[in-house]
Order: sequence, then structure tokens, then C-alpha cells
Amino acid sequence: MRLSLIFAATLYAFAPNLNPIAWSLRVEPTHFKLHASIAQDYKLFSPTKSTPGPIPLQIRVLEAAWVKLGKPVATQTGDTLTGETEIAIPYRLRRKLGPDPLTIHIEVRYQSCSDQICLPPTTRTLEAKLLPANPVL
Amino acid sequence: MKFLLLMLGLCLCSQAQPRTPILVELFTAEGCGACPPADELITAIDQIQPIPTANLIVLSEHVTYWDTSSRDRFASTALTNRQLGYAKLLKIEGVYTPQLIIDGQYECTGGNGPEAKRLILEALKQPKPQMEITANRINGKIKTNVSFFGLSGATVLVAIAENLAETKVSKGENAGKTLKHTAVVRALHTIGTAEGLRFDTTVDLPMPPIVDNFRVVAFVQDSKTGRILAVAQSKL
Repeated sequence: MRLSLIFAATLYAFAPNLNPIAWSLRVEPTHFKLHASIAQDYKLFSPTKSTPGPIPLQIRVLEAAWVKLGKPVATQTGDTLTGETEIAIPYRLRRKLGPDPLTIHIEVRYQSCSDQICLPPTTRTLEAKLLPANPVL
Repeated sequence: MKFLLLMLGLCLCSQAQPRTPILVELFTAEGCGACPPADELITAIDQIQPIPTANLIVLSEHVTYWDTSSRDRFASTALTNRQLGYAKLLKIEGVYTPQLIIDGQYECTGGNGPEAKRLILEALKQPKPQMEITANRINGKIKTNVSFFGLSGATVLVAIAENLAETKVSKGENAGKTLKHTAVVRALHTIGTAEGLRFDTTVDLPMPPIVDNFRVVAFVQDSKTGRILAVAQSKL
């Protein structure tokens, strides 16, 4: 009984983490690699989530006139993603780049939960540079 | 229920003591998978009144940001904005559900019984003037009288809340569950600003779409700090 009480008190002793996902983005010749570092006990809803409920991870490129995104594929399967996870997003350029790199912005919108709390939809924008050597549609 | 009391870590004392009213607001949503334990906790707090020196007046306030696949029938933008207002006043990084706000001053996660207890005891250290409320159903309106002394410059609000509500959720994280809510806010009205020594106002509030089974909660809130300066309720 006493142990149960201590456990209950300790379990909740921390302030909630309201920013549980750290994002990074890198560019590969045919894919963007989106990395999510998801805090312990939290889950992110997968871009391929099929059940209704919290919004799945949504990904879009702000420079849609230049870049066309394909269907994202996460390294983890299932409706939720946890821990360190990577999402590959195939892309094609819609037109040939000039001599200078093109700065593009990938916007992610998502919801996440732990066992204790759920967070409202959040939007983050990540930046990357496309080099002239990248493929053209 | 025993588990919830265990989480609160409270003793049930039978000695009659004067109880200080404390407003316990739960921001919750039917689409939030983490919320049902908090709904149960707020129900237990309301029914058992486990702190002998506190009259715990609870409100469940449903927010809209989980309305992604189905609409929470109790959620409103006004309540979402109220939670956002607390985030600003209490300097919290953002909002989340379930969240408990104790007397407009303290916050913790909604299922966190021990922390809720600690914060309630902290809130009890602040004295509160007595507030009187009477509410009656008359001609399809709720005639409400609110009176108190000595709280100049604060906002007076009245919430109309459904005592007990139940929803069988068909979609989302809680699909298949029957959720039970206590003191679900169906309308929140600002009825005036406290000025001078005495506030005594009677208002006719529109009846919300509840046939029966509701309570009227009046509270005085400092709009600069969010602190609840007085609170009282009348069950109809």
C-alpha cells in the first residue's frame, strides 16, 4: 500500500513536457529524410495512420512550385511513432534549378500524446537547401 | 474510486470544519486519449470532497483542439480561449489536455492526484470572502443572484454546468468508451465587474440545452492575474 502511494506520487512528480518532439531534416538525392526525436513516454501519430482521431503527421513543402513530394514512409510501422524515428519523403523537382542552391521549407503538422497528456495540433517549419545536382522531374 | 483516493493520498476525516471554496477547473476533451482518468478524478473530487477544509467546486471545460475526427458536443472556442488565457497568465509554454487549474493560480496535469492535492492545500492558504449565490429556473431562464463584499475591480462570471453527462464515443482515441463527465460547462457568462464595497446583481441567464441536472457556479476572477478571488455554486 505504502509503495503504491510512493509510486503514484513519484510517477507524476514532473512538469509535463509541452515540446516533446525535436525535428531535423536532411536532403538526399531522391528523398528528404525527416528525423523525429520523440521524448520518452510520448507518441506521434504516424502519417499513415488509418484510424480516425488525432491528426496524423502531415507534411508539405512551402515551395510547391519547385518541389513535388511523394508519399512519406516511416521506418516504424503502426499508427503511432515513438523514440527515434525517420520518415522518408520522396521528391522530384518540377523545374531545373539555377546555379545557386534553392532554400526550401518543409512544414510538419502533428499531434502527440503521452499517457498523461495530449497536445494540440502543432506546426513546425524546417529548412533545407537543394543543390543544382538534385533530380529534375 | 478507491484508486483515485489513493492517488489523491487523502484521508477521509469526519470532523466538521469550515470549508474554504476552491475552484478546480479541468480542461479536457472527449477526443483526448489521456483524459478519461482526469474526468474520473474530477468526479471523485466533486462527489467525495476529500479535503476537510475545502469546498471543492469543480468545472469540466471541454476544448476544441481535439475535434479532428468527431466533434466533442461540450467543446467551445470560448473554453479553448479561456485555457489559452491561463497559459499566458501562468506563463506556461502551451496548452494541453487534461489540465487542472486550481483557483486560477496553479496548474498540473489532470490525472495528477498528489499534485492536485498539494496545489489545493496551497490555494487554501489564501483567504476568500464569502460569496452568496441563488439560482432559480423561471420562465425558461435561470434567474441568478450573486453578492459579495470587498472585491473591487475584478470580473464576475457565471458558469452553467451539467452535473453529470455521458457520451458513448464512436471515433478517435476513446472510441468504444463511455465517458462520464462532471460539471460540464455549457455556458459561461460575464455578468459584471466588482466595484465599490458590495456587489449584488441579479441576471436572467438563457437556459442551456439541458432539461435538468445542472449547477450554476459564480466566481470572481482577477483578470490581470487569473486568480479566483471568490467562488460559490448552486445546484438546481
